[in-house]
Amino acid sequence: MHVYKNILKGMGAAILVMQLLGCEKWLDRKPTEILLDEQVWSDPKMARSVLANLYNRLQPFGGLEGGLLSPTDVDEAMWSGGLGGNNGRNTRVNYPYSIKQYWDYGLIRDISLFIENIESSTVLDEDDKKQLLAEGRFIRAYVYFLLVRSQGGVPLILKTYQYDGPDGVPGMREPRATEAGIYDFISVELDEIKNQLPLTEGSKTRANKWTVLALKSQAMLYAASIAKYNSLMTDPIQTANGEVGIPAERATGYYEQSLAASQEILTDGPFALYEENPDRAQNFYELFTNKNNNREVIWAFDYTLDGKYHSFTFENIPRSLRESAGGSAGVTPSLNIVEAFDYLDGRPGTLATRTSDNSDYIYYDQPEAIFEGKDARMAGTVITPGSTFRGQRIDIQAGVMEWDEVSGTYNVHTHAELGRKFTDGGLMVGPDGPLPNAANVTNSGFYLRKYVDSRVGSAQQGQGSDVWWIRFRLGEIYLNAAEAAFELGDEPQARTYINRLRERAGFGPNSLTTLTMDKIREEFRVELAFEEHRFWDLKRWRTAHEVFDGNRQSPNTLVHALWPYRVVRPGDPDKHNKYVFEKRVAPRFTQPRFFRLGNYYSTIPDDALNGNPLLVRNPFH
Amino acid sequence: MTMSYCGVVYGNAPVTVDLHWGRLHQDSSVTGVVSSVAGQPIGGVTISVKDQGQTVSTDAEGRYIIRAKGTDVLRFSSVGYETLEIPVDNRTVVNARLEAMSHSLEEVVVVGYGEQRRANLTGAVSTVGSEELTQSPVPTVSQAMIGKMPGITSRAPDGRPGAEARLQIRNLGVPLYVIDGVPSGAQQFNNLNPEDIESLSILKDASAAVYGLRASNGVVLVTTKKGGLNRENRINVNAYHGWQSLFRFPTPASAADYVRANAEADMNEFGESTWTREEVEKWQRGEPGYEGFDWSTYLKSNAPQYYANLNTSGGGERTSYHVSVSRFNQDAVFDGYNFNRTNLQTNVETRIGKRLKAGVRINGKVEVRDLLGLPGGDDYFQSLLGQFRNRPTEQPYANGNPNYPATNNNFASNYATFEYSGYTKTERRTLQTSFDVEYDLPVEGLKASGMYAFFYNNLYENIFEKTFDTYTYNERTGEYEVTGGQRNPYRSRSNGYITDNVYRLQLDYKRRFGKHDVTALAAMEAQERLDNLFFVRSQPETNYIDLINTFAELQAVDDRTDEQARAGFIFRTNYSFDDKYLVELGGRYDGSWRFPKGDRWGFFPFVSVGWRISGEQFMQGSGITEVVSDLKIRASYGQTGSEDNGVGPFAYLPGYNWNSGNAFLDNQLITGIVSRGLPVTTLTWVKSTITNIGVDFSLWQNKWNGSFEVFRRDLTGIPASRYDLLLPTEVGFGLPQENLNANKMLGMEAALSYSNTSGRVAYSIGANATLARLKNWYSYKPRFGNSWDEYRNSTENRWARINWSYEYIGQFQSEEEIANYPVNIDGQNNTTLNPGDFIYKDQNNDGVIDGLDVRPNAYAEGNLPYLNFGLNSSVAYKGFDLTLNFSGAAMQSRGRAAEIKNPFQNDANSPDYLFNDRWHREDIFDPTSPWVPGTYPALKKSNNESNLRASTFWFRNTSYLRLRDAQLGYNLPGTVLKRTGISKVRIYVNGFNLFSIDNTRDLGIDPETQLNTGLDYPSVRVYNVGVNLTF
Repeated sequence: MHVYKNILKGMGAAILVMQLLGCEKWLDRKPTEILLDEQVWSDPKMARSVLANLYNRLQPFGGLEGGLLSPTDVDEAMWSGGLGGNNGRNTRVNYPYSIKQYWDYGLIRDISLFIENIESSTVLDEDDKKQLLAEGRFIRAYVYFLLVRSQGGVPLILKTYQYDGPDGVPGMREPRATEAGIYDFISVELDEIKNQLPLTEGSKTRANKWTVLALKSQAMLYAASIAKYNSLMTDPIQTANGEVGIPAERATGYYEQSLAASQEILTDGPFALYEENPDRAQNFYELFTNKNNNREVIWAFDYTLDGKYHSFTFENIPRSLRESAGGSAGVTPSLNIVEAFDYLDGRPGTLATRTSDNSDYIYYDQPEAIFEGKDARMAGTVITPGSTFRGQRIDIQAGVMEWDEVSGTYNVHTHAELGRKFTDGGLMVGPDGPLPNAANVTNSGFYLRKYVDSRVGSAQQGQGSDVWWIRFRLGEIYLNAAEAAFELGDEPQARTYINRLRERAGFGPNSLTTLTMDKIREEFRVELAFEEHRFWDLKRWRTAHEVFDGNRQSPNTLVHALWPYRVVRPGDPDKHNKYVFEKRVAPRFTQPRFFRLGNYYSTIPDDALNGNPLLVRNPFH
Repeated sequence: MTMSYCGVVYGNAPVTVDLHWGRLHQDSSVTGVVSSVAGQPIGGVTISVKDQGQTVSTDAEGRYIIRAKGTDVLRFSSVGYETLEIPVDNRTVVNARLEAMSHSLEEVVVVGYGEQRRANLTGAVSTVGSEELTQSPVPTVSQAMIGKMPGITSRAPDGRPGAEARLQIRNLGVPLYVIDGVPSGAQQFNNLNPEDIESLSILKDASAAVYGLRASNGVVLVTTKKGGLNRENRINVNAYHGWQSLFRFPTPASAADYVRANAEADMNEFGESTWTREEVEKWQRGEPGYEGFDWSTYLKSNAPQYYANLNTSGGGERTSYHVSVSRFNQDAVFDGYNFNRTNLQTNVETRIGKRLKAGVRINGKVEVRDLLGLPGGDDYFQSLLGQFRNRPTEQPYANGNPNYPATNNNFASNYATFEYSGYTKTERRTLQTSFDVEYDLPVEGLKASGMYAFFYNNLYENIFEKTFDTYTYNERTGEYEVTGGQRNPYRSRSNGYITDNVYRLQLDYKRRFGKHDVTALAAMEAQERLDNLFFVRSQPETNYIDLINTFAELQAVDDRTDEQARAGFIFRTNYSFDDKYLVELGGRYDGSWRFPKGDRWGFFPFVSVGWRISGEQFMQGSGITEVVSDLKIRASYGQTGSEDNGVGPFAYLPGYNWNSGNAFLDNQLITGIVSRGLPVTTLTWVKSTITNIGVDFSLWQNKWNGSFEVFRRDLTGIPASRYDLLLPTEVGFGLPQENLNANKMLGMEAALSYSNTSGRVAYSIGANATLARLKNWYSYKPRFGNSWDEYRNSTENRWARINWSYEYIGQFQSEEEIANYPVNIDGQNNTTLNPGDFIYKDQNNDGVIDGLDVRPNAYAEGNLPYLNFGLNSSVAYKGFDLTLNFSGAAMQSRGRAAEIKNPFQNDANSPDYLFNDRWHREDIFDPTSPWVPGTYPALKKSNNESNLRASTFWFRNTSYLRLRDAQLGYNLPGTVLKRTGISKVRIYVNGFNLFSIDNTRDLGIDPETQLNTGLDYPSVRVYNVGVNLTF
């Protein structure tokens, strides 16, 4: 009985102890990967960590990650990688209305949280505070630029909301600002913070005075061209309250703002066009891959092999250079972009493959001969047949044309095996294709060079490349300045800017003696190819629906290919073992690009429309 | 004539009592042999003199000796056999023959925190014993459970070495596993040695609620074997060796078919091909240099596995023990893969003084998984992918020279490179130890007990993906040129440990007052768990140093830790009157660390009732008792909270998440942190309510046994947001989730078995089936834009997980039919179509096939099937025994993707049926020749979107019945063994997965696999030979 009592007592005590002291504590466990607000906002290092996260999210359409698919949205390139999935980019009947949709208000909220917390901080010293605040506002202005570029005017949210129950919800609804209103907001913000970023003056990755001016140069140019060219359309794209569409009379003001910003960079900035390598093509290529003392770059999204790298090179390297089992030849340039580069003597860039009377091929000693004398930027951007990458010759050859003396015609011999030899012992199919119906071999006859890393090892899956993605560079500022100056009537000034850029590309000084808007646009196209500009440029010029009109006969609706062949014609030494070229529509590319008027602005996401009755839809949606 | 009361059999019907020895004196020795109906001696039978204390047990040969009076009654009892009482009747030799138990009511069933007589059970509890579990020669316990009992829904999607089956109770979700009273995980459960398990109890209804916040999906209770007091020591050996092959896998097309298909696809798409007619013909003839290579030769048909177990158990006056060691070893069907496990189980229990009992259980195990170091994720997947990814036109070796693996389409799947690839080695070492004390309090029927258990699990994983070269032979120079290979070395180590502590104090009361039987339980329990993982990754400079110890090579470091804590107070009471009217009542007050302070505790009650109709007076008529041996109906209702509410622990905390989105700013890699959004403070556990109604019956002297139950589980308070508040997306946060939505699992299950003996043949057959299907019930204020939106997207009171697709109604037979077809099938006025392309039903008759034409026509994909069934049978005759276990399932769907849908997936090979059974031109190179029909559309590499849409052609509602185990054993007769000192020798042959009746044979796919690409490592077919020895 004694023992029994003791045990009972013991158990009773245990229950009591557990209940009163233990249990609540017992269940109190600490998370290991959560920082509380006060732990973050009392430490400038943690504030910088918040910034790191924000910078990392300014990449809505790929950049160098996700394979840089944007060029396959336009006429710069097609998809030659896997036959499923992305192949849909070669076969889509039209652009969906949701293309390039962007509505990241989660990011806007996180930026606002950052700004509010820096503002109210009492522990940060004043210099840090000023710098961080301006940096936050720059990021916010940049995100609003991305938003307005895709959607037109969007609700301008500059503070964070708290949820305190259903009653507060109606107060959170904001209508869309006008398209001009967002651009004006960007303009004012940038002016205000321009001189508040002294701590990052020389940075190429964080906000500073020059990124502020570069953004202003670009954003104001966008606003100006929309104001001007939208009004020139037969049926301007606009809404009654200006959520979409900018009044024509605003154009001049925006052009002036853009030009002023560009000129400030050009005259006061520490920048210079990249001209380090006397080989102009290689120089243009290195502009994108050389990160050491690169004076052209204004703002870049940077990578490091120690923990932050991308697989862009793995995805896009020429087939014969691949370093992993998969990948290669994802985004392959089109003949369209190759021909857009002029010859240095001023001839248009169209490649001559047939005699002028179209009776025979033109025979070239080497496949590379057809490209001789081209704008050096072409070879800096595209790997063409017979050119060299990583010290290796890239042989792109579709087959052999064997002369049949009897019929007086050529028989074409091809094969599905890369690097296959013909019966004469010479090459039949290049180790780099092209093949008509295969994955990860070029379909267009070209490979991408711009941004593809020449460092051996960078094409490995899971290791990758640390080449950075350039958001703003001086070459682009020259173009912006040229366009704005031209639109403002200062053709000589505009011509100076354009000719300066062309000089770097191998043209003589003052290669253009007259300038047209079309010529400026062509310079945008070739200088900035594969840098995610063309889609947006065609939109702001309001020419996208004409360039991509869904008609097979239009010059740039289909991705064209250039397929080289070796001639086997022992009876004619002038032609035997020479090279001829066939232009064709890339076989895997089946549907003409069709940009509808409703594509000028993306759809507002359904959940946004459902959540806020004040939002009006974009035209045609 | 047998009379039965409470499952104790009196009399002589199945019993032979030998009478021919001399008469018995007062209180002297009685001896005898206890054997089974089939004549085999039974060891470990407990024999007691009725109404007296002394007990003895039989030795391995079934012999016993006991002191008794001539007027005494001997009681023979043993687990798995009907208890038998035989009057000594003044004999000196009393032999007994025990009948195998078929659902005895006296059987003791393990339930939450205790045991109950089956007769008094009011909840839905199924049990399975050791013997049934060990009939399957499988690596993990979950695989052995399939088809063996009602209420279990299962799928064995994977047969790789060491594979586990997916197992749920009534499709409710992942159950809680409790092993010898310790809440554990599936991993720990699966890797028990099946021979060490005494019994499994599956708590399927309110009976699970006693386990609280983690028990809403049911509980699997495991009890390991113990010794017994005064039981002679026995040593058992069980060992088998087996040979495995893949049960089924799609056959890749031959080189000739592959080349022809490529040419055909080119012609179908462009009217021209890079393949010439001559070349295609050479491949068809297999001329020298055009033979191709059959990559399926890399799949072995006799991969070995073996198992050996040595255990001993017994006990003396005060102490009993069970000690067991076992080893399981399994290879894969390709070289370089192995799974092995060593288990050690020690259970010791001892009496200290009169009232105190203490015990220790130790379960230790070492699991080792040895894989290759192939580039990329899952090495098994890569190996199977090689069946298609390696083109049959390619060779494994350059110029056939085995020193030089060839550079082919994908070196990572070229089997010839595997030996150079490196390794992935995962070792898991586990120790689960528990210490129990039990004290009989001086109040009659009252007992106190306590338990402390700790668990330690160490994970040690090393991966080394090495570099190697692949070659191309240059015929001109005769040299092997390096043209490719793995250049991307990878080395990583994961080192983790888990510790888990469980504490429990418990009071039990059990007493019978006349016809009133009362039991009660009160307990409290606390558990904490810490899970740590440290990971480092490097890019080694050389293949030959196996360490990660230079900063230069280091690539990533990760450190994770996760902590959990729970506590609960439990009470339960059972009352039965005259064994006829049964009531159980209980509840649990449970707390979890997942929820914010102040909202952590919840109370969850349960109640169940039973009525043994067969105990009533009106059922006692002789006509009735002959037929109805037992009949009980029961009902239960129980509530639990489910802490797994989808938002995870600490959702209530604001602040920032560490290590999210790093940026390389000014040449410095900065760790990003991101705001956590609005804290979730309005959400608590999801409430689970299980209702169960069941009936148990035994008919014709217990020869027929069965049960039938219907059940329903309501989950209420499933998290959702109040979207009707129209919170603008522009605020940048979503509304915090609240407990708003509901679903219900509805189902029924049934089991029926029959066992009998006829002469020396003992046989039994049993069947069980479980149907359980999830229905979405209501959601928070559903809104629909239009009636189509409601039809297509509503979930209100509808079966969940339905698949929608187009209805396939045939194929176009000719160009004319396409040209004249009134419905726009492809969205492009049928301009992309060929004969053989699919026709879909225009459900809404609007002349175009689009999203409005999809209909619900398939069950869930990749889920557990809604209907599971099993069929188990056994026959024993003289020394022979045969068991056959079938399992099956229906009401599930399989979609098809990638390799088994798209020809030339990855620009490589396909299953032979895709290339051969297709629409094609009679002369593939002649675009004017007539079409020849086939099952699949004409071959294309792309631009085939119309055919590839989700349709009833690609969805298939699958079902199967497979023979999972077949076992034939032979026991050597005692006369042979007499002089050997071995008391039992049983040899057996065993086949696993011998055949299946199903509807995925034409796809070359095991019906239980889950990937819609068909590239799972399927179940294996195994042949084993084995032996059981008892000393």
